[in-house]
Amino acid sequence: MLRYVIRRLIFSVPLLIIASILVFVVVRHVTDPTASLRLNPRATPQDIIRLKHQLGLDRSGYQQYTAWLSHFVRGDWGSSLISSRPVFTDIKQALGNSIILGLAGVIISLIIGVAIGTLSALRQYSKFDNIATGGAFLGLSMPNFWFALLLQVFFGLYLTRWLNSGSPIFYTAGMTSPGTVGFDLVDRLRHLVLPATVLAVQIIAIYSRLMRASMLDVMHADYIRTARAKGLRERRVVINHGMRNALIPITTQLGLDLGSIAGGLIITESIFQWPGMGRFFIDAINNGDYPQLLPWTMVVVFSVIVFNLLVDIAYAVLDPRIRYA
Amino acid sequence: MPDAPEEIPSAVQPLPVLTDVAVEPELRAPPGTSARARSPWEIAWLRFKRHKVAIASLVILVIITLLAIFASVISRYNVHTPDLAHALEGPNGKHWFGTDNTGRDVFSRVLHGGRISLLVGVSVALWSGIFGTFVGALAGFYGRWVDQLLMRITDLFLAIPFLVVLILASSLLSGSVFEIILILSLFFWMPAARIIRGTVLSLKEKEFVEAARASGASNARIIVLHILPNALGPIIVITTLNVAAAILTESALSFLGFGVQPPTPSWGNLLQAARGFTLLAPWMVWFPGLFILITVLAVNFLGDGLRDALDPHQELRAREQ
Repeated sequence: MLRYVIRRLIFSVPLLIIASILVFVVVRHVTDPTASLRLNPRATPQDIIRLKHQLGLDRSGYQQYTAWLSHFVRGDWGSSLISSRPVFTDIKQALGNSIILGLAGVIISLIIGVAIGTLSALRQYSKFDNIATGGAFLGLSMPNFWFALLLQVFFGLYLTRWLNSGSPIFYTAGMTSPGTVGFDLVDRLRHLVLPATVLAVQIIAIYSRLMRASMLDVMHADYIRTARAKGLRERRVVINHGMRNALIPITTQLGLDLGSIAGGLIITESIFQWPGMGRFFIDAINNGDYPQLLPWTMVVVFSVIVFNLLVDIAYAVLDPRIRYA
Repeated sequence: MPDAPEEIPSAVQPLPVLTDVAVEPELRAPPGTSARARSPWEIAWLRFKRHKVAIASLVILVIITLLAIFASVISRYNVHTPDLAHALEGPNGKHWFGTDNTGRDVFSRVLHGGRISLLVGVSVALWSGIFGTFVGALAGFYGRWVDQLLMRITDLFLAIPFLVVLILASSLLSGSVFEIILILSLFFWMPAARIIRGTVLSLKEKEFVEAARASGASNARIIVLHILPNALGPIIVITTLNVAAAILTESALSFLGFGVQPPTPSWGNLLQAARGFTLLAPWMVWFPGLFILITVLAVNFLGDGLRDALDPHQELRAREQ
């Protein structure tokens, strides 16, 4: 097992390098760090040459890449072209914010999705099952950015106007109210609810379908009949024998979803102005801030690789048939 | 079907999608009514007809497509002409969906946006379906290292956070509709490849493939004329579902400003334009999104109905892999 893990991690190194080269080429091709200086009428051509030299843009692409890589590996991630703040601290902060939002969304979805899926499977083709199926189709077909805009309109405009209150119940932008001192849990939660809901709608739809299919599968297995034949209570059969095994496919999806939190909340974060990784990426692209983009990509790719690996390990741990095969 | 005595040889009618699927008794031709058994396509149609939601979805999709095609006939307002005297009007008798910040008719823009969004959705699904079928057929038919290589590449593409790559790629390009179709197609072929691979794996062991080989058919001929026609069911289903996914992704991309570029309207960039006016003109938000939702929902239900009709054993096969 350990050898397998180590081998997988070693294989991920070339993947990271390929990803970094691709991103380096694309980003350098797209962005022009001297653009703002060029627009400045008082900047002389010498100023532009000096800036290019400062940033190392007068060297060859290969030299630039290796220079960047050697700094990156040593933990010197450079600083933003726009704000001149160190990229490392900015990414750390953005990642933390994305994890708060992502975990909130995924955990809520996991609980609700598993509950809906299990009930649907136990009462296949009942009214509940049909409604859940329709709801899942709706959730999967909902453009999440539209849903987010609707929530903003509803909570930001109609509900606030109707309740005649000064501020909305759930805020429609940002992570904290401006001017908040210290950590205010209630204020934080009021900001978290709407973006987390948008995330949850889609994930609940996926998890409930997965759980339903997997639970239907498991409840027809021989060991369930055995458990019933032994005279176990139905509750015990369903929870200990049924759900425990039916949760295995969900684990895979859960792992992949957690891995994508580092880079995958682009839409939700940019609508709710949540200062996480997704918004960081969009801002960096729009500003042509390549010192920010490269480390960002590294973090995202690394996270995807690590969580893919964790999923494989979890699979082996949870399912003895795979472990002993 | 095996229980029919007068089965037409497959050389004459090469469409047996449901090779070894048992047909529900109520769908068999009633005894004495027909000289021959029902063809697989007839059975699929009968199965599909039972799926009321899928039929309704098909009707809705036809209506939406017609609205998009005849957009300029249906709406008398030009998509691009601003009318500042009537800017930001709510839905009314003249402007059914209201007007935007420069007074353009939202109804007209939504219909024209539908042209682009539907075009992108269908094109991406077709291209990625063709490419995915190609990859899946090669992997399934040749097996061994070809299979290993192609499937690892497929896994790699599945693991990539594709919205990130799409945004990077589209910032390299100019954002024309053709380019959007191209780069989206690059990220939609994987499910098709996997499913077709599984189907081909099971089909290539069948007797009719052996018979074709015995009569001297080349590999290419066997794949194109004998295996793929029998894998048509899964191909149709996955392509349909891809239309929904492609429409959603295109609109998300355009919404973020990296997809189809204004002034060409698409459902996604109409919503992007609405973003600055969510509180002033919420109708700019409602209608484009409603059209996306209804279209995607209808395509998904249609795909579900087609799956029941054409490929009832797909889930089973996927699990066996």
